[in-house]
Amino acid sequence: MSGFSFPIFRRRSAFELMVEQHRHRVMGYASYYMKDQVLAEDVTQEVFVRLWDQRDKIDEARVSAWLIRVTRNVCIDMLRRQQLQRGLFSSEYDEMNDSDAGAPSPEEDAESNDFQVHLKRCLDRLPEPHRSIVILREIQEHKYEEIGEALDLPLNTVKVYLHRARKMLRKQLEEVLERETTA
Amino acid sequence: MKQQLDIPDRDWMDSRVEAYLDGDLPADEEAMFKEVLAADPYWRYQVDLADGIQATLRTLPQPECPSHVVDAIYARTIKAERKQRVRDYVGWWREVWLDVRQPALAMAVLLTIVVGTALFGTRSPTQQESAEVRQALEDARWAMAFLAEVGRNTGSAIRDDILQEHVISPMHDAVGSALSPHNEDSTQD
Repeated sequence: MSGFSFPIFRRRSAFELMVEQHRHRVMGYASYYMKDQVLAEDVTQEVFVRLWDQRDKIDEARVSAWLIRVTRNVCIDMLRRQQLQRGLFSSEYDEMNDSDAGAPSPEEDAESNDFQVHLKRCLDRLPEPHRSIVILREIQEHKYEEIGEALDLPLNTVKVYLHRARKMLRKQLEEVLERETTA
Repeated sequence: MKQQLDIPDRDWMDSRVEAYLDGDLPADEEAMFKEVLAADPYWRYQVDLADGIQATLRTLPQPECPSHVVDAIYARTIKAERKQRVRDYVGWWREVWLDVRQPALAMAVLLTIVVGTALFGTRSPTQQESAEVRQALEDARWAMAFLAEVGRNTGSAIRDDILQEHVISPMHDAVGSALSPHNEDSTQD
């Protein structure tokens, strides 16, 4: 009797296990992509609800790549919706917000000489898919194969993009550090 | 190309900084890279910068997923699961209904007939005909049969004289004798 359980409960426990295994990675990627904690939480919720809806169609061995792909898609959808909503509001309000958006926060100001802060800003300025590849490979330490499958790119292309992204980061950071030393 | 260069140019060096750090350069290129690196502090700075970037990226804080997000995920999936179960049951019943619809209708009609017959189809004993009524019906049948026979024989409308002779008079006599038998005795007298 102890070994018996209904399939629905087995499915749910397997799902809960997956949530436990992958939730921090999904949340981490969404946070770096959206640059907003609350939006990243919404993305994480949406991704795992989609995982539940699609649970019968997903190969368990490929869940990691599936989660990356869906997280990225949900982030893109959410950013598009935000842009659309922003377009509906008054331009005056937007201009006020935009002027604030570029300015560093007091905390950031205080540690503006911090290498890590500069690096994060440079990372935010990277184009896609370079930024995603850096986040997934260098920060989250996903396998190249998983990244390739998730972003629908060949393995060598992922490596080339990563190489270019690191070079771009180095160039941007060099400029920032040079400006800082001359100022 | 690289064999032709005694001193590697800036682009050649710049494109190999990350590969040198990862240890991905071929042996001859690595030797050449190291030679320039030893002679030029600019490239030593570039390598240090690239190394610092990689090390810092790996130590960047990984935002954690709060437990309230997990609770919200479970709540939404449980709700979705309940809805799905209801949809499954409705779908199952619909399929079953499509399969058994015609036999069920036939059974319902048959049952209605059987119950209807059982409730309203039998006559009570009080409704049975009396002997007089049976007799009157019998007489009427004979009369109708006679009329039909006459009609067949003549092939036309029934004439008054035939009706008078064969129907009305005999019926009059029969009824008269049946109602007052003592009158018959008095006429005979």
